[in-house]
Amino acid sequence: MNEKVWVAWLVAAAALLLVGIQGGGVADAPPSTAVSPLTHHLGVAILRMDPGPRSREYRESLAYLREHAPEAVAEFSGLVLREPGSFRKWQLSYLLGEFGDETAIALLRTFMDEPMPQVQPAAEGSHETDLRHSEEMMSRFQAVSSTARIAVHRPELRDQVVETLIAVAQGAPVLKDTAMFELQKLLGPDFQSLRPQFGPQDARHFKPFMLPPEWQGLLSSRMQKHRRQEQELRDQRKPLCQAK
Amino acid sequence: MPSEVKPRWRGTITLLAIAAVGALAYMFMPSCSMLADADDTLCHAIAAAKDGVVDWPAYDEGYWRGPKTCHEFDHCTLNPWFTSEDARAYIERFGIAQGHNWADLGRADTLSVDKVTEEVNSPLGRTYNAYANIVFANLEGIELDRGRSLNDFEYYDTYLKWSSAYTSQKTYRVNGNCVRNCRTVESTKCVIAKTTTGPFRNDYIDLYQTFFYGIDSIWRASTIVHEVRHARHGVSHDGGSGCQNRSACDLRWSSRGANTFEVMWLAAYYWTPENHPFITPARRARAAVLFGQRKKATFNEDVLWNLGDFYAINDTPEFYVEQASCSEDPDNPIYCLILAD
Repeated sequence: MNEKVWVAWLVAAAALLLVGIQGGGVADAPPSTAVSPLTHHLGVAILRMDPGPRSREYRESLAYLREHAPEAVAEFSGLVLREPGSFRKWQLSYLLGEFGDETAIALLRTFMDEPMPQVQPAAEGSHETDLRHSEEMMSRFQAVSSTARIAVHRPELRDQVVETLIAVAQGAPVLKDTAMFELQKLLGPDFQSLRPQFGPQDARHFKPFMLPPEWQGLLSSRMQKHRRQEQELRDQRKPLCQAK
Repeated sequence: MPSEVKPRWRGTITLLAIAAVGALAYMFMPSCSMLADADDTLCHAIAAAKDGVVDWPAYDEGYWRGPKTCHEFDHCTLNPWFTSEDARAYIERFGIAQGHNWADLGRADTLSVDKVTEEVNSPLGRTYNAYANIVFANLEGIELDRGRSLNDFEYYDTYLKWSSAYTSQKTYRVNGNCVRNCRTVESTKCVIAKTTTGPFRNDYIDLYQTFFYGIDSIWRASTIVHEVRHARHGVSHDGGSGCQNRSACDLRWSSRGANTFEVMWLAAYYWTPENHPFITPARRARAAVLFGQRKKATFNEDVLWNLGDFYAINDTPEFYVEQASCSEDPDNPIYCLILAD
């Protein structure tokens, strides 16, 4: 009798295992074939991110997402805040800058404020790269740049963007260089007015790197030459990128 | 007698039952992906080829509500070599033509694309995409003569032109390798590429599965620039595990090592004209974050240069490669040569 009980238990365990495996497969399947317009446009934006504005579909989807920014941002928030570092996470962080509004600024700020995961020590002489940690860092750098990008297509949010970037530069040492660079780009000569808000250790950011005077002549002639060559090449060639 | 037989029977039945459960579980395991992913998916795919046709692996992070949609800048229409035999021949001469294992890794299948994403999916094709970023970042593309003296700044008058020639001249052999080369199964701590130097011209670079399927094509390109610095000149990392990356660290920017070269190339890629026919805004953004990450994570001593400091790198490359980029302190530049050796 005892043997029968044993076998019965094992058969039951096997059945449970099979159900579990098959259940897992079902859970991985796409939830539904019908997609909402929001999901459709988010998918197109991801799909056509590389050609970007050169793609008509991308431009159309971006227009839709900018109109429905709060809902689109909400769709991304879980992935941006909870997923470990990955190319996809960087991609979503980039797109938030393309269509985002004030809700995106808030989301990106929350993300940037989260503590950075620790890198695991690499094996001696291994030449290993921690891909996940690298991607996590890149997503955060992107969060800074995307915050700045929002001010370009939503100029009414410029002050809020500047305020956020200053706070990041002051509070997140890892992100400071990126935040300062984005502030320089965004503010132009007005960037110098921020100087009182930063200490002497940040002086280098306010002394723009300039080539020594003896190089200025060459720089000027090369710039003219390169701009002329670029124009000639563009006129000669069809666009390399035939975006769909 | 019966009391001795009974325990033996019990043990046999138990073993048989366990074996049966194991066999059932194995049979129904979903496409063996858990086992195949045990590091070397690419090697498994090559080994499982039918009539020479390999089902190339897909990058596994690209899912958005079902269909695969992730793009690592590998789309076939956005990489000019895809429609140009001349461009493929040009790229081959960066060391791939002399490389080993490319027959197994898709030499006959270079134009293979993923049916869903239209992304180039063979390892060799994805390696071409890496080189495309090096080659087509120059407006001259494959018209650039890569064989001139690296001191010829009248010809190599942008950093991207110069680094394209450098990458070509300083590599001998680029090999493919299907091994994933990560610490453990499913670990994301991986070796992307490795360079071995030799006493003569027999240096070689090995590219691993992670290079093909774990990183995007711009990171692949900067990795090549990095590895080439190790190749002919044998410049090794001098920072031990003292940087955030914990491996492949350079002591400082002026070590003139592989990380300096890689970061400079990323800066030059970023500072290309906005209406560049090959470099899209998303690629430029990716180069910027790679610049930030590599700069922050791969040097023991903080690098004080910012992306903005490289604004003229494509107009006065000789300045950047010879002087200013070697300094840790913009106020007290330490001049050094990184080109002349």
